[in-house]
Amino acid sequence: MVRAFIAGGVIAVIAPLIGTFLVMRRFSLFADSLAHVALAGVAIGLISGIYPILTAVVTCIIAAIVIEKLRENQKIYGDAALSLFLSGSLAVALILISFGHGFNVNLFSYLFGSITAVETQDIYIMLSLSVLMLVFLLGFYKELFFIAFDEESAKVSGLPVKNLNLLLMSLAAVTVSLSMRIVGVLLIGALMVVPVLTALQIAKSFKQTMLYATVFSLIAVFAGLILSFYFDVIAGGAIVFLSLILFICALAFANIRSRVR
Amino acid sequence: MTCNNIAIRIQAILKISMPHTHKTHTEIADQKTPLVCVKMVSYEYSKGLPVLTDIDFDIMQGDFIGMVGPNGGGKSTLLKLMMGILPLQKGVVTLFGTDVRKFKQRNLIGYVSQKATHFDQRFPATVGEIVAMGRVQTRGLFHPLTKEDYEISRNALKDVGMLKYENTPLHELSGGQQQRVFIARALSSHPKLLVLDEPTIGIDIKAQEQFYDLLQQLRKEKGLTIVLVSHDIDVIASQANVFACINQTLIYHGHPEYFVKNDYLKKLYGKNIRMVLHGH
Repeated sequence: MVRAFIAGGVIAVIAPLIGTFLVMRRFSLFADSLAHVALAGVAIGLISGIYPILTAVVTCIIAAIVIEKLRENQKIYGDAALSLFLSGSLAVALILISFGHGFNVNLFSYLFGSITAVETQDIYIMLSLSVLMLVFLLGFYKELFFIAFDEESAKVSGLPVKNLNLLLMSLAAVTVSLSMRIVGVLLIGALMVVPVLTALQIAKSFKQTMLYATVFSLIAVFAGLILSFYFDVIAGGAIVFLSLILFICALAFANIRSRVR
Repeated sequence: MTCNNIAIRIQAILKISMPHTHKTHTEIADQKTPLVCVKMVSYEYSKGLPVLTDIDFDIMQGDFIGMVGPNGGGKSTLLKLMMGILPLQKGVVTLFGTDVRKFKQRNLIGYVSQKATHFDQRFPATVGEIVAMGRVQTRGLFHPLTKEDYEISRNALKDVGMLKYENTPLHELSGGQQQRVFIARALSSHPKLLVLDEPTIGIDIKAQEQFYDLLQQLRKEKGLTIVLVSHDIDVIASQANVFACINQTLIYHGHPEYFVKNDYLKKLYGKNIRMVLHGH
């Protein structure tokens, strides 16, 4: 249980931090697409016997780079490119898993998360990758913020926008891969996006948005984990459900506040 | 209004505004190297449809150059080529003596894009956070902004008269106020060249007047060279000391007064034009 809380806490912090940049750049669906790619990566790992989180990370980073290139060249609409990857990678995952002799518990645990299956080795990997990610995210914060707000001016001011975009996509790819064990592939997108949407209802600055999103995410994850342990509910479902409750509360609060003014 | 009437009107404006304006670029002492050189630049977005053909002119220090011309005539494209946003196809652009493709001292250029006030209105950034972006390139990659950076940003806000809105979310301000914030952002890197692309679109007349007053004040106080792209010839004629008129080619480059006297308006826009003049 302690391992679950540590893993959950780590994800609860990094998911909304990356998510803030994704949401503000209108890439909310990106997380979902990457999650499906991660599933294909996991399938590759399960079949080849390589650590699945690792194969997921690598596959996601490659996909993130390809999606970013497609977006840059503007040969395909942004959301169409994501749709391509979403369905394409799910198809690949299903084929690979069929080769692995049918659907099994492993697949289920990656689709919906399985905190009980989190092992100490997983914790070490998650912690070290997350620390690395936080270093990049906070180190390049001002650049990522500038690009998220005004990509053209960022280019004029001399920022290496292409490379920074790739960095952001890669950070998202790693976050998605790491989050799979806690909330599962199908719900990672929600964990990266919903706390940010909640924060946007009440935040008055970008820094506040990131801070509130992290707080809401931590509340949802810890409360969701407790619920799942005591009431035997799937953790991913509980966490995202609580996130949505928080969002509705924040929305109501924001509406009331604007009416009072 | 016919071409001649417009010409008379512009001349009248120029005669009124001439005394307190601007030296022509022949009167400025520091005339050694041009700040910006555009040499035989041509560009087409797709094959066989040129947007710009053989554009060739210099921008000298201290100029206030108004780039005017019809929509679709290539003004914004030329600006983007000058800033290095679009890659050059034919011709050369040098900034401060260096080829634009190799130019690294981006802090010398302050840029206010056309889309500046068309950002996502739900973006949760405060005025202070936006202006601090102007310090990003100067501070360098992977270095957090320092107290000095925030102090410089605050001074830039003070220069445009927006310091009291430092902690206000940007979307709560009016168009004119937002535009001032973007100028402050451009100023906070201490540029020598200020480039503005259609900065007064969607801003009411009063705010526009205040905007141009602010520009002239900044130009005097900080010795800025200003490039301003606008479709508003009437207003630019009274502000700029150099006109560059673009309609695929460089139709005119020089003092606004000669533009008017020699009937370039017809050449710029074609014979049968009608112009709506604002009442100011």
